[in-house]
Amino acid sequence: MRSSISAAGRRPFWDLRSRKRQDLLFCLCLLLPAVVLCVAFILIPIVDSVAMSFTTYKIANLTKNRPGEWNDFANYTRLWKAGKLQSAIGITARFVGITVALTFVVGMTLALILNTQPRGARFLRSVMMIPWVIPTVIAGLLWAWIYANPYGLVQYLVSVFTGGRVTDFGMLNIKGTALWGVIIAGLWKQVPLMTLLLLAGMQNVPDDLLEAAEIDGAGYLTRLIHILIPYMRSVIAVSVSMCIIENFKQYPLFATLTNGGPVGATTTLAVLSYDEAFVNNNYGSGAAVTTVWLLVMVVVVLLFNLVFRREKD
Amino acid sequence: MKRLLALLLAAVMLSAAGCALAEEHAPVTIRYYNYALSETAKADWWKNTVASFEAANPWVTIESVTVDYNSMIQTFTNDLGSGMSVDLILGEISWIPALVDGEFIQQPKDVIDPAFYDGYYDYVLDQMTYAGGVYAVPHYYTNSVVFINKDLVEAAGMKADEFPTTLDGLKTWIETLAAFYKDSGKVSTIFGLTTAEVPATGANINAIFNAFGGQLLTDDGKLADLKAEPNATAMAEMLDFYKYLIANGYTQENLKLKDYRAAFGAGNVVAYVDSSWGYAQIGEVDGNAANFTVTAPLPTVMGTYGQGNSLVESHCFLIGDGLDEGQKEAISLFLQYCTCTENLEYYLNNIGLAFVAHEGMADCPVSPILAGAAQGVSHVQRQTQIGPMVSVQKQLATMVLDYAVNGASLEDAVNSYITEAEYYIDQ
Amino acid sequence: MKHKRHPHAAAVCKAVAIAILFLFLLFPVYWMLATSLKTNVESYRIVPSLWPERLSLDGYRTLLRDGKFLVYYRNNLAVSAMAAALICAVSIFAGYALSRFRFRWNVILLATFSFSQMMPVISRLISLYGILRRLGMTDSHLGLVLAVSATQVPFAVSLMASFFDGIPRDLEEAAWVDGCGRMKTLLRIIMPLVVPGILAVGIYSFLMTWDDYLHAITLVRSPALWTLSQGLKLTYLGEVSDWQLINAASILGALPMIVIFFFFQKYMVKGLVAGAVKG
Repeated sequence: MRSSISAAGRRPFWDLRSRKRQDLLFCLCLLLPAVVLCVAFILIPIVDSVAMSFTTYKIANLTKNRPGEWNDFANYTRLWKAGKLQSAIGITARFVGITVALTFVVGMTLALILNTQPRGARFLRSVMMIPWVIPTVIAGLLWAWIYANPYGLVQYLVSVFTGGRVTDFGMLNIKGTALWGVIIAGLWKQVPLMTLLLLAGMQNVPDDLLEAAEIDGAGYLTRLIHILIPYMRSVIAVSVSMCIIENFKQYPLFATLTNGGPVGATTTLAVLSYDEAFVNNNYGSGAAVTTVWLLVMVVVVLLFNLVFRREKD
Repeated sequence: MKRLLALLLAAVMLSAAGCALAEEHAPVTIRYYNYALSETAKADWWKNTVASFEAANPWVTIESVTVDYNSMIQTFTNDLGSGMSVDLILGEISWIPALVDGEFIQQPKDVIDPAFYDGYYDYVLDQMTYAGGVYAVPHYYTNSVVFINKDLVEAAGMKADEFPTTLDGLKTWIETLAAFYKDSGKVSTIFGLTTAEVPATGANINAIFNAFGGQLLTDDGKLADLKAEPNATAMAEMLDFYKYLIANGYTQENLKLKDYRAAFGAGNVVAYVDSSWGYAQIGEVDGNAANFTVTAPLPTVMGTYGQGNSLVESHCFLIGDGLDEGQKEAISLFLQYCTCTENLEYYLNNIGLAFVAHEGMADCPVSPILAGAAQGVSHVQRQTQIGPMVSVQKQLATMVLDYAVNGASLEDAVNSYITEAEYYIDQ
Repeated sequence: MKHKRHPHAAAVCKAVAIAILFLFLLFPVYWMLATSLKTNVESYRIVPSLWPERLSLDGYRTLLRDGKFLVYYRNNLAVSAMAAALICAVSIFAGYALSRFRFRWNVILLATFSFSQMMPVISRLISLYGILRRLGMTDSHLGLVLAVSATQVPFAVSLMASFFDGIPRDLEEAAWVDGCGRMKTLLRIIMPLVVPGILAVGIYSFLMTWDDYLHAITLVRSPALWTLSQGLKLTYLGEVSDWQLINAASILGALPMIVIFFFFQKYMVKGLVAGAVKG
C-alpha cells in the first residue's frame, strides 16, 4: 500500500493526453474485482454492523429476517454503565501494548544477532519461521497444553524451580498471570515475522556508515540508536503497525486459551464482542462493542503513523 | 395403577399408530439437529437408532444434521434465515429461552401423543418451563453426583460406600484422605469441585448452591435476593466451603469438568462432583474405569439450610414450529422410539450414564456405577429458566474464584456477582 | 564496543542468547511432537517425560482411520488453493493498476484498502452470512473463498504493487510502440517478470487461508465441507481432553505449512520483505 502512495509521486508514464481516458477505463477494469470484493465482503458488512449497533437486535430478528429497532444508544450506555467497555479497552490496550513492545524488542535482538552472521545463520533463519506458519488455532491448543494444570509443562517447571513449593501453578488460571500467558503465546507466534522483516531492513543499512561511526568512537548503543534505527525507520513503521493490527484483531488465541477469564482478566474487546453477540445472543450489543473496537484501532493506527511520519520529515 | 394404565394406553396407541399410519402416510422428512453426532460413541448410537426407526417406519426420513455444541444457536438462526426448517433438536435445558425467544420452537404437548406425554416425570418436565409453557421433553436426566475412586478410598482403609451425609462429615472424610495421600505424589485432588468460568461449571456451582439450601432465581425469573435468608447464609457457607477446598489444596482452582474427568480416569482424583454423564469421558481415558468408579449423592446436610436439594440437568428434545400433521406424527413416534427401555437401556448404561425421565422406562436398569447416587434424586428443586441463564450461572464461577482465590471479601464478591448477574438479566 | 574488547565474552553471550531464543521458539513444537507420540496415560503424569517411553502412533492412526480428518484436510487444501488463486488474479490486476496509473482517487482507494485490512472478522460475521445468503452461497466453499479472500486482498494488492514498481516502465512504452494492447502487455510482457511476486502473494494467501477459523465456522455448516481448523475444533475438541489426538492433529495440520514454507521460503521472504521494506 505504502509503496503505491510513493508511486503517486511519479509522473504518469503514458502521458499522451489522448490515451488518458482509455487509461482510466483500463485501470478501472483492473481494479474492479478487488474493489468489488472489498466492498461486498468487508465494507458493507461493517456498515451493516455499525447500523446494527444502534438497534435492539436479537435472535428473532435473525430467524424472522426482521430489522432491528432503534434504541437510543441503549447498547452503548448499558455496556458503559456496567464498566464492560472501559475494562475491555484497558485490557486490550495492555495486551496490544505489551505484546507489540516485547515482539519488537525480542525481534530486534534476534535480528541484530542473526545480522552478525553467526554460524548457521541461514539455517537458523529458516527454522525460526516455524511458529509463524503454524495455524493460530493449533498454536493456541499447543500453548493450552503447555500451560495445562495439572500435567502441563510450565506447571512442572515451576514446581522444579521453586523446589516443590508451588506444585499447582496454572498460568492461565490466575488473574495476574493469565494475560501474560496469552502474551507469551502471541510473542511466540509473532517474533519470527518481526525478526525477518527487521533483519531484511538491517541489510539495507550501508556498512560504511556504521564503520565510519565506529572509527569515530561511537559505542554500540550509540550506533544502534543514532544510525541503525533511524535508517530502518520505514521497516520498523510497517512491521510494528502490522503487529499492532494483528494483535488488536487477536481472537483465536483468547478463544483457545482463556475465553476471557479468569474473573474477566483477559476479556478484550474481541472476546467481549463475541460473548455479547454469540454467547448472550444480543447481536446489537456485540455490534456496539465491535464498533468501539474499530474506532479505537483506527485511532491508534492513525496516531502511530502520524507520529512516525512526522519524525521522518 | 394410573401409571400402569397410562403405559397400557401408550402401548396400544403406539402399535395402533404404527400399524395404521405406516400404510397410509405420505412420506415426510424430519430435519433433526443433533450435537451428539460430533462425539463418536453417541454418534454411533444415534445413527443406529435413526436407521432402525426409519426401517420400522419407511414413510419417515430423518435427515440428521451435525452441529457444534458451542455454535448451535448460530446454526439455527443461520439455517432458519436461509429458509431451511429446523424440525427437531437435541439440546439442553439452558437453550430453551433462547430458542423460544427466537420464535421457532413449539410446546411438545401439541405434538406428542398425550398418553405418552403424560408419562414424563413432572419434576423433570417442570424444569423445561419458560414463558409460561413447557418447551421441551427430556430424553433422560441427571443431577450432581459425587464420583469416587473406590480403590483410592479403600487403600486409605475407608469404605467407599460409606460416603458422609453431612458437611462436617465430608470435611473429616476429606482431611483423613488428604493426610493419607499427602506425600504420595500420585493423587492431585481429594475432593474436586469445578470452578472454571465455563457454562458447565456455572450449572455445577448453581447445583452446589442449591445443595446448601440457596435458590438463585425467583419464580418470575429475577435474581433472588441474595442478602436475605436462607440465601445469604447458604452463599456464605458455600463460598467458605470452596475456599476451604482450594486453600488446602483439596481441589484445584479453575479446572473444568473435563479436566477432572481426565484426571479421575488417570487415577489421580479421589472424588469429584459432576453430572452423571461425565462418566463417558472418564471411560475414554481408561476403558476399565468401571472397576474403580462408584458414585454417591451430595451430603444431605450441607450447612445451615441444606436439606439434600438438587437441580436437574437433562438432554432434551425441542420441537420446531411450522410442522405439518405428518411431521408431528413422525416426531411423536420417533421420540417414543428413542425413549423406551429397549432402545435406551444400552445408552444409559454404557454411553451416557443417566437416570430415566419417563415412567414407561421405570423398569430400565440403572448403571451399577450410578447405584450409589440414585438415592439422591428425591428433593429435586424446580428452577426457573431465563434467557441469560448461561451467563448468570457462569458468573457464579467468577464469584467463587474472586472469593476463594483472589481474596475478595464476602460482601465484595457477592455484590459484584449481583451487579454482573443483573447486567445479563436486564437486557 | 564490548565485543571488540572481549571477543570471547561476546561470542558466548551471543551463543547463549541464540540458545535461549531458539529454545523458546522451537521447544513448543518439539513438545507437540513428543506429546503426539505418547499414550494419554503417559501424558497425564505429574512429572512429564521428555521423550515418550513407549512410542505410540495411536493418535495418528485414529485420525487417519476415521476418514473425517482426511476430508477436512482435503477441504482445507481446496479452499486455500482456490483462495490463493483468486487472490493472485485479483491482486495482479489491481496491483498493476495502482503501480502504473496515477489518479486522484488512488488515495481514497488506498485508504479504503488499509481500512479494510484492519476490520475485525467478528464484526462482519452476522451480516456476511446475510450477504452470502442473498447470493445463494451459504454453506459452500465458493462463498467461504470469497469472504476469506476479501480480507487478504488489500495486503496482497500492496505487495503486488511493490513488485510492479520494480519493473521499468520502458518495457510498456516499447510494447505500446510495437502496437501491443494494454491487456496483452500486462499478461505477456510484464507478468512473467513478477513471477516471484505472484508466488509470494500466492503462498502468503495460502498460509493465511489455511489459518482461517472464524469465517469457516460461520459460513460453512455441512460436515462434508468443514475445513481443518473447524473440523479439529468441532470433532476432536468437544469435552474430551485427548491430548495425544489433539497434538497428532496439530502436527498434521501444521506440517503442510512447514513443508510449503521450506520449499518456497525464498519467494515468501522476498515477497514479505518487499512489501514491508520498500514501503
